[in-house]
Amino acid sequence: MGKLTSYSVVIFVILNLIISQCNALYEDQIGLFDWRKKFVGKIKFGHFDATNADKAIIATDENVLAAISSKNGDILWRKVFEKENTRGEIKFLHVTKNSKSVTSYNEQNPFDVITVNGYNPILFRGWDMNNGNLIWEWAITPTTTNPEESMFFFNEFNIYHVLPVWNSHIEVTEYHASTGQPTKSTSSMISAGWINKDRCVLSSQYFACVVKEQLLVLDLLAETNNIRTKALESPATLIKVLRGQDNYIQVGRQVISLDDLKIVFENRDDDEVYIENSNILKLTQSNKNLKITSDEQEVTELNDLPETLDNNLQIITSKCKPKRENPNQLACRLLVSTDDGALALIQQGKIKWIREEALTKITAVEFLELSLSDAQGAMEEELNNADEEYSNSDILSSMYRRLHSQYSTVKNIVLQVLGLGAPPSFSQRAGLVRDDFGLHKMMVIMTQSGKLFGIDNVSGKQHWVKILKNFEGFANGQSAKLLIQRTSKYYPHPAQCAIIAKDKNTGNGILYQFNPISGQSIDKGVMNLNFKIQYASLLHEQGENFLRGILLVDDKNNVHVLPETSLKQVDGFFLYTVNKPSGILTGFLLQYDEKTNTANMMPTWTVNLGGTDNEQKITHIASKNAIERVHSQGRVLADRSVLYKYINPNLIAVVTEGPDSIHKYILNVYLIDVVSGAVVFSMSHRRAKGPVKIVHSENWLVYSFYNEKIRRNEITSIELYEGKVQTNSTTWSSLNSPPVPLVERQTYIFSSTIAALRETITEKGITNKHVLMGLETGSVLEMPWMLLDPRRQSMVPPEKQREEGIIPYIPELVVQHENIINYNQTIARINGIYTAPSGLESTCLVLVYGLDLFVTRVSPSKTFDLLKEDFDYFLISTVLIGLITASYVVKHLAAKKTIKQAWK
Amino acid sequence: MKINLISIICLISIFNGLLAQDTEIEENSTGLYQIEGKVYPPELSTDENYKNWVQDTEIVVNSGEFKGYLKSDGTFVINRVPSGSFVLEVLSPNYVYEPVRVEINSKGKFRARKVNYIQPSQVIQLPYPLKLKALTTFRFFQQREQWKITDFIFSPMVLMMILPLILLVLLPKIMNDPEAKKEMENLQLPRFGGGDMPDVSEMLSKFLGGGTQQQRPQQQQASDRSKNKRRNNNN
Repeated sequence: MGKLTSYSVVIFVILNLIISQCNALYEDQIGLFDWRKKFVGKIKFGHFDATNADKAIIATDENVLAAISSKNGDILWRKVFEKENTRGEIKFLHVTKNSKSVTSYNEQNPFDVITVNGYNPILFRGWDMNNGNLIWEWAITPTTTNPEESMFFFNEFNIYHVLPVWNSHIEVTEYHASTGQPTKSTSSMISAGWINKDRCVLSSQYFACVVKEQLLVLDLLAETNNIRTKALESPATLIKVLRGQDNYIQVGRQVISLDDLKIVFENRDDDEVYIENSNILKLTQSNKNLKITSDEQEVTELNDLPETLDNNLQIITSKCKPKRENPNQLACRLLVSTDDGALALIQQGKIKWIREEALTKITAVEFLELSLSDAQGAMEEELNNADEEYSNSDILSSMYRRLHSQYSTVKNIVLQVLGLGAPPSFSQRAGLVRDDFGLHKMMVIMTQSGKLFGIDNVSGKQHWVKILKNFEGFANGQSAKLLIQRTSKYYPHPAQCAIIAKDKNTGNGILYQFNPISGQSIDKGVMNLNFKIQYASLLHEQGENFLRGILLVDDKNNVHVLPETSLKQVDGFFLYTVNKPSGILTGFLLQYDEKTNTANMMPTWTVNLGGTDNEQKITHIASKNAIERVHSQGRVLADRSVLYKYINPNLIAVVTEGPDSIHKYILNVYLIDVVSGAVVFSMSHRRAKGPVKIVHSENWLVYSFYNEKIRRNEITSIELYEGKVQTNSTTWSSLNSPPVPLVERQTYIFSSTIAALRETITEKGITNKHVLMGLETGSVLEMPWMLLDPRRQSMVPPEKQREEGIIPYIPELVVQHENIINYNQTIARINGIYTAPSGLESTCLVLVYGLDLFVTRVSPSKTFDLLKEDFDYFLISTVLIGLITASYVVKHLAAKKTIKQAWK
Repeated sequence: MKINLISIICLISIFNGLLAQDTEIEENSTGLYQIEGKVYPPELSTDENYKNWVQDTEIVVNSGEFKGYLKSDGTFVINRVPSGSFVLEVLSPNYVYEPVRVEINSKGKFRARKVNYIQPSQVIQLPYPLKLKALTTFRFFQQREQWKITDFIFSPMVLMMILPLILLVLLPKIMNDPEAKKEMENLQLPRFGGGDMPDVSEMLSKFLGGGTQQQRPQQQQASDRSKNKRRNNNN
């Protein structure tokens, strides 16, 4: 026992040492290079508060309830509900219309917001609008088969749960809002055989249906069954509730008031219609022009609509009052939203703020280096010319060139000062020029709705936005692809990116090529391909103008390359396809046929990971980062020999999950060489299930899963080594029967659930690698590889055999609060982490995305290539000055002394 | 016979009663339960995050499967939770709370205990309804090192500079003291093997002690003496 405690003390001391070595932020670094933006998601319901409309209460499709300030669009408070729709989906939002809070009978708990979430169970909550505190909460469990079709309305003090059973009846149950007590002993059944899904709506207490050429309206609060009917001019297919005031619906093109069944407005042009205090606001949008009219009177007009809002604007909520100078006209504060989720507030003909809620659904991110500044570019040009003409140039001509370029720089500066010179380039104007350390980059973000963003990673400013129409991701949950065809390194050629997606209507491929710095499209803009895409990737080699071609394989296994001149390069290209549900991986080899100038695809191998009854489904595939560089080839052991890493660039990790008759769940991990199809290694975890998160880099693999048996999260790390001799240090070939690697593995207990995993990456790979862990709690943890190292042993070896940098094994990985890189800036629902190298070897740029965005930098080995931030310039200069003065004084004194000595 | 009948009736009635009770429980609960508790903020907290703590705090069960929100007094409920074992966490950006494992058996009995991932069988019970107290505030930041004079003095660079200085200043003074000199000589004797090794102290004093010229002859004698002694030793 004594021994054990002494061990634990040793371990503790060592751990402390390591942890003190680790990087943590200083308090004065808050917000210095990190920023967070909070989002809420695409709006579903929204209402201004009743008193002065200085905030809007909104509910979104991300299952978020939030209060947003009308002044600047900031989130005042936010409640994030469960991700799963069974409990989290917001079905109903009620915000009190009177300025007073709704009070229950006993006048005790004033609440002003009601939400209804989920369908199994249905959760009812009342909130305080001012601070977002919960006032009351209760729940019911519906017993019917279709609880997800529940509808709700609120009247005075009661909430009504309306459950239509199509073609049969409607079940209405009344609950007292703040207590959840049913007001009647039974729910009332209203038989209505005419109700039909997609043809019926509920607008407060009225249940309205279109049946052939009739509109039937049922008042659910009426004591007796009273069904009112109204004949329609033509059979209408469309029926929808209008936003704004209750009891107004649009049937076909007619806006009908349900109180008296009168047609109040004929919506001839099929515009967006909104009702505000019996005023009909009509929104027309054409060609960057937005017009909101009420009774032919203009309320608001915006002539130069920003591109980000140019996507089917809708009025969500409004607050209007007659203008003081002209009471017939309305002055409105309008909250509008687009199809992709952009939320904006329009007031007095101006857009006060815009929120980009499309950023809650990020599918791909790339960091791109910025272009050179004009001056640097001119220099680069001169050097390029020098290179080209090097063979036939002499000293005099290069001297001339140098002088000429210097002359032109001076001339440019003078002209610039006088305001006569050529205008600065776009990137110069926008401040998008490369900095000394390459820390300033452009984040190109692709979202699920097809909206692209170019965001500055330092300031968070959005430089450009592009909306792709009819955009959709690929089947099987694969997102659209964002490829970098050319980086900014090849001056004067600008960087170029491409997006490959699916057309929503035809299912064919779409290609969009653009300049990621300026956001301008290249060539024709969106290109519609005439085939369905099965596989898309970049070619390995650069073609003309340093541009990497795009390889596309259609559903008939034909090979396409863009631009077509690069077709030759596909010869010898290996690729693999994965069928996730069946668990089959297939490898292909592309061959180029010179005679016909075509390329064909040849299957080379097939691996079936589906198991016996095809129970196992592929859930994750992890390949290494294509730009990764491995600096250190091996690891020095205690006896000074080297253990060489198994660095196979063609290695991928495949995770399969499936049920099992004995162990309930089985989780398998395979390491597969995708060129040869060899399964290099496989592991199986019994009674383990997802969510699996996985990261694969260098010669290691880290993944997290849930251990059902002991009910805890575990992290497994695997390292592969070639052995003490290296087969070939220069090139790797998967086909020359590479050695079977030695495998080191270790599993750790982890207390939190991991939402995302990613390794840090740097320019040359010299810096240590840390693993960034996005936790479900909203923190991002920087875990040193040293702690995950599978070579950590539980037996502490004697002093001599102890390897450098290896800590004794302890089963639990402790979350150190200092290692949380986003401190108290928690990120709701982390979905992914993206890392990119910066120009500094020590520093890695990080973007964490989920419901929120968080951008920061990490330096796993500390900023060894920079002077410390708290470097004491004052101390060093005072010491230097002091020493210099001291030496002079001493010199003087010494001279005096020698004179004195001479006199003696 | 009569007794039998009565007993049968009794039995039936008891049985009926039991049945009725069973169905009542089922109707009441339908196998779904409510987790209750109260969250306490850290005491004596003065930081700016304190005033928003209710707003910022969330209750999360099984990492987001079920969620609960606080009322202004810190109480919370999580409705309609099936029986099973759950880990309940209090998520607060600024305050650390310990997670709690809540177990609900199929009869609806609650048990709360400490979460122990390493030894899952170990049970340390906690009170139910839950009372969750903040342990500390998160410490995310490193402390910047303050500049202190002692740090400066004891830094290796400074020590390396000061030690030779002391040697330079003090050694000649010691050399001047005749008793100390004698002692030194005695001490140094066994160290030097060969006679041709230069005398360090002599060199030092020669080099530094500019004002000790009068004592030179003495020193010379002393060194001669020592040389003789060494010879004797060698012999």
